[in-house]
Amino acid sequence: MSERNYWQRMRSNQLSRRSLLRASARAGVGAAGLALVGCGDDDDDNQQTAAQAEPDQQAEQQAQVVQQQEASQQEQQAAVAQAQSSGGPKRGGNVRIVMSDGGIFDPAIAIHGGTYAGVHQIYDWLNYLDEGFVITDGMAELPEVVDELNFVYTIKPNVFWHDKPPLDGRQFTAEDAVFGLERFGFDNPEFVFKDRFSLIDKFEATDELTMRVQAKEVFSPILSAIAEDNMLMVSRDAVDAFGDGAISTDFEAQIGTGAMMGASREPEVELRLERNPNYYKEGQPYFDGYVGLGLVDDAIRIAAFVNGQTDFLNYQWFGRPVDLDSARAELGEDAVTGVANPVTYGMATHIHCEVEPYTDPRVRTAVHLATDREQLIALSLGELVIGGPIAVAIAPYGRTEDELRQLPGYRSGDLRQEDLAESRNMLDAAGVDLGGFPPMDIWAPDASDYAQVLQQNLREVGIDIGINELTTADALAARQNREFSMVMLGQQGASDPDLLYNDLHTTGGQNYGNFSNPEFDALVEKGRSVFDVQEREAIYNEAQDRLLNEWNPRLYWSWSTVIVAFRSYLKGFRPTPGPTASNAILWGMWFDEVPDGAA
Amino acid sequence: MRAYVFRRMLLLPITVLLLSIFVFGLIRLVPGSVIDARLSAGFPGTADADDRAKLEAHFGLDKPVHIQYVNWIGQVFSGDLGTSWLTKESILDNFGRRMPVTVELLVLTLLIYIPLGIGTGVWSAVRQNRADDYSIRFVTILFLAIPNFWLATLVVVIPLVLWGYAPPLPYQQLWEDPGKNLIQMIVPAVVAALAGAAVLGRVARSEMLEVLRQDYVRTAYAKGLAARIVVTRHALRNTMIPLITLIGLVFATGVAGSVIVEQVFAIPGMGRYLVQSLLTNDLPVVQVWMLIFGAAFVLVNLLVDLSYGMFDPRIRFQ
Repeated sequence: MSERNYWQRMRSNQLSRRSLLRASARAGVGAAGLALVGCGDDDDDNQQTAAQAEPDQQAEQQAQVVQQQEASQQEQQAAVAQAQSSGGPKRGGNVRIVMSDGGIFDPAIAIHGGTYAGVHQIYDWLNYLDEGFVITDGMAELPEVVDELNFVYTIKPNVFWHDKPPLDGRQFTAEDAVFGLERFGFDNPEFVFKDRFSLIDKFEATDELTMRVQAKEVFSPILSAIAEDNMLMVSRDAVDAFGDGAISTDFEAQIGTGAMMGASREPEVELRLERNPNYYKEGQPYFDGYVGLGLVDDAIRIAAFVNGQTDFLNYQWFGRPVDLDSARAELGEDAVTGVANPVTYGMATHIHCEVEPYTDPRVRTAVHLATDREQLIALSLGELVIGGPIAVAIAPYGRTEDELRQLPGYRSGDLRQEDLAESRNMLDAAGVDLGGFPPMDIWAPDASDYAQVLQQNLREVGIDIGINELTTADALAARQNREFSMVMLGQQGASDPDLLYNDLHTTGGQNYGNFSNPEFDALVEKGRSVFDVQEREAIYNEAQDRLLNEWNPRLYWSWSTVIVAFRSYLKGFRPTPGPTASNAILWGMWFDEVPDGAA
Repeated sequence: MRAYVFRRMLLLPITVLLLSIFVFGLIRLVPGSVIDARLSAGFPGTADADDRAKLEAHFGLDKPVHIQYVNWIGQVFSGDLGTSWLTKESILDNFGRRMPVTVELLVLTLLIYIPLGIGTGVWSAVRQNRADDYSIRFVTILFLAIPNFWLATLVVVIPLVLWGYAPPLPYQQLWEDPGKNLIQMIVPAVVAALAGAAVLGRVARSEMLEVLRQDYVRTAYAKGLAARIVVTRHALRNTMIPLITLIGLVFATGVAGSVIVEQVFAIPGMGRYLVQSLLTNDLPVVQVWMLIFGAAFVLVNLLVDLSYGMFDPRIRFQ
């Protein structure tokens, strides 16, 4: 609940008025570049637990999940009830959304939110992550936890494929679920999530509607891995009928079980989806259809929204507070609703721990202490919030801004002066040549301003560091190839604190700075083997404390704020957490009144 | 003239071949690759050398560069433009769908650019040092100075703020709804034409001023011909050689301008295709795009050279 309050506070505090012209003058190409880098769904094993090892813990854990889910459902019901005062959920209308699907549809390949927001409305999940990263039943009930290695999913009996050949509206079965999940691991070089289930021994259909999942070893994020937003079910029949490649590129091959069915698609122009009359959520979706408009430039996107040609201002990753301000300035405060969406990507500075002078943890900690987060965040016009190693949205593990502001390196005023003094002491102790720091690589132009602030911060403790501006592709390549000393880039998202394993474990795939510390490794290894939330919280608290106080292999400073803005005649919006800000849950929304053009 | 044209046409494939080598090499000098982008932006959790090697083999990047080039150019000359690395769609199909959109934009741009540029230039010259001349010179310099991406943004934002107007969406094909299509295309065409027209106007003015000082113009006036006749029949034709060269160049500037204009106005043409492909390191598309427009530019230049003879009979092609 505190997390929800946090986001509500963000919504109310961070937004300030700015002119439409100012917002529109921001370059669209830059935004597209940002989107391409920032929206990547990159975590392999970032999951939140919903189960326990021991039977009593299992029961407790299940109860917690159910409780969270019930709370979540109560909120949704409250929202519905509130809307019912103005007539309740109504069916009808075609919701009009700005989108760009990028031409890749296969959930095993697609890596950006554009597709999730568009074509992926056709597909659905067994379970999905609802607000607060709560694992929620979808086409399957919440899993029965047999033991810490075995989980049983029961498919709901009223889930049907779309009524199109070759599926022809047949029942979605456990065999389908097995295929849908196993497909992510198929030997296709383009399948980017293939190691998601590397710790799964097997998926097995034990009867028509029951699937058993058996893990090779204890892996607590397993259930949220199955519920993450890319885990959409593709059918074997469609793959056989159209070919594996067609699932990625052929709109006609997109046949799922989702709330919407494909109607037509003109690349980069318009995507039309129509209501699935046999959707398993009874009475839903409320919209008759979905119209996605391919607009990439900020000016035309805002103009189309203000002018009434779209219902969402910034449906995908473009949820900038400044855009909401602009729209409200034109349409009035009440005409536009802005909802903070918990996402887990941001900006960070990767430090290469095997490059001098960063081999010495005291130097890295000195850099951490000298960094002025307030200054850095101020440049983002509300798009970023101060962050630590785990995104604040991943409750209860992520630390809030208020909590972080109490910590060395995050403090301001006199306390910051103390941090700077400590930073200088550490540099003295390390005996480094302050003028001999290699230049930091940055992702230009997106990170240029931030880099200049960091450069000034470091000068306060005597470090003279240059800036090496790189294109997006070059910066990514430098990071991927570990050819950097310090690089400022996007911070990949996750839905579980296990992201630290991937980021910083000696064998972690995103351990770009080659950080290696046996104590840290032991902590995150333990974290992924424990199901109990409190025990995990203690583990990850210790990991975060020691990262910030002793090791500092990465300079953490921000996570993103996404404000999803839409016309206030739309009701029932539900923010969707996740690494991609995909906002894929549309089935519960409706038009309180259908505007012209949306009928 | 036939021999001249024949010689120029013979040079065309050689020029295109050299262009293809240049384009192929240049793109590979750009830092980063589709492999890095996939591994970094995708799911790098366990990406290792093996994953990289598989992806390189998948995209044919595991072969030496010269082999990659020979394979690619052989494919292109056999009529197969290849497929996009990103969407796996046929590049030829994409060009077929997008080219008419960009051609329409270019034609509209030319229809605005030529009369506006020449008209203002001639008018300004004829009315030299009068109020309308000063006004035209001020406006042309203004449009020369304004970047077209900013102008495009203003053209969207100002009507919205003043009248709540935004261009109708989504994009409509010309043959489906000509009226709506024209409404959607005319503003981008004006934006694309204005900067070019300003240049054309400046050149037309200076050329016209020079011609108006020639003896044969003075003679025409002395014969008692009306000023309109003198300007249009005697003077204008003799200013056309440099203007034709400029108009030929508008093909290149128009294509370059379409990259920005199509982005801003959500027009699904070739310019937007290029931007999208560049952002995603979709090299096959970028290569073919640059090759085709390079070859087209060579052809346009040939046509421009040939047209000189129409305006100046003294020019002989040998």
